[in-house]
Amino acid sequence: MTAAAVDTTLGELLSPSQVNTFLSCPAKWYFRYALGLVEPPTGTLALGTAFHSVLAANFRQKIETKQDLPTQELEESFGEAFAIAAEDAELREDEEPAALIETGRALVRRYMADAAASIQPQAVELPVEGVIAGVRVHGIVDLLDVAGRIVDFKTAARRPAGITPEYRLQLTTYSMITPGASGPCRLDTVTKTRTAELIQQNCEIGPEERRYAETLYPMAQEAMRDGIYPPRRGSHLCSRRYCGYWRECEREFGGRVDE
Amino acid sequence: MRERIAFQANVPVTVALAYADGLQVEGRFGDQIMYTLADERVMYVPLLVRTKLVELGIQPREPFTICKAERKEGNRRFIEWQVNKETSSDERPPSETPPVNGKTNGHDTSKPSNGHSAASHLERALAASIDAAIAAEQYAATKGFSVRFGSEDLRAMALSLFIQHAREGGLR
Repeated sequence: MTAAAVDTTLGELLSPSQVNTFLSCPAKWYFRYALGLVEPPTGTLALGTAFHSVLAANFRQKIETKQDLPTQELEESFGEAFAIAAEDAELREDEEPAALIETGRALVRRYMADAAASIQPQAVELPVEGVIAGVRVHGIVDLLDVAGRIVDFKTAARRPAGITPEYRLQLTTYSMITPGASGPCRLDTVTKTRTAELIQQNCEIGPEERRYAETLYPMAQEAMRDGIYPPRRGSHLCSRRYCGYWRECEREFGGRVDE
Repeated sequence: MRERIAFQANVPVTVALAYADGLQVEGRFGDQIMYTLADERVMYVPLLVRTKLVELGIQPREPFTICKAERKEGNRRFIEWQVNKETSSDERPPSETPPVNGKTNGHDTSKPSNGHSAASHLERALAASIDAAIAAEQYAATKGFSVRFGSEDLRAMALSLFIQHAREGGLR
């Protein structure tokens, strides 16, 4: 005896990253979120995860102690955090673990020197959930400070020109569903350049940003359930280097994903 | 921590529940039901799977197959959860059950072949056609095809088997 049913609940609970993935490439969203295919993290992703983990460890204890941990201690813990994050990673040919760890330590050093002292957190890695235009949305806020400002940590290969639409949607979302968020947000990006650099970008979430989020979430949810997932081969992120699903994509849709 | 079943698309997994019902939990992508399995593992499935398990009357420790299948209709792709109730050894046709010491499922096999009624042959043909249909559907899913057999298909297959069996003298 067989019973079968189509899953009509795809996209029931969305996150900014899920929506951003869908907008950048519906096929990638399908592989990851509908089929559940696992994309092994790269060394760069593991570095970012470890960076977040080390900063979270510092700020979590700072809620009570009001003191930062010694930078040296955090730098040393980066190695362990990286080892955990890179456990299932597939390092690219140009990714060397020792070099990644050295880079990560430099990023931690830069952040602690330039930003940490001025931050007093009220919550760290805060899971949040709410409803935007009828769609359930969740996420994890890197840090909410005592003034109600949302702070998000990023690592980047180069200095960002501005806050990208993807990050703006993320900050808008968090601002809308985080209890105690007062409106201002900040994106703290540390660059993996020869000399690590900290760039802090402030933004205020206004009615237009909120309207965009209120438009986008239901639209994305409806599109996800519509069943059509074209690959975006023209996207600058569509490459064998940046997308772990390129094999599935070629097999499913034909054509070729560039190197 | 209990091992969690990772459902791969189009790959059927045979499991058995430890308890009659699961626990509704919130997963990363929405509400799910967490079932504890007889082998100590756990599985997380959408709510619709619970409905199917209830429909099929799946009992604790009763093996069944569950498959997260990719279904295609033209350019559209859907995720379909398929639940198959396994035919237990007691329900299988006698011919499929290996005899052990001259016995099958504890029943004496010394019964003469012509002792089977036409009805029992028809039952076996129907069961065999259902098994074949399920296997074909699952195989098709692994190849990216959506194949669904209806009751008419099953009737036709079973009658073919039944007639073939009769031609071979099985009903004499």
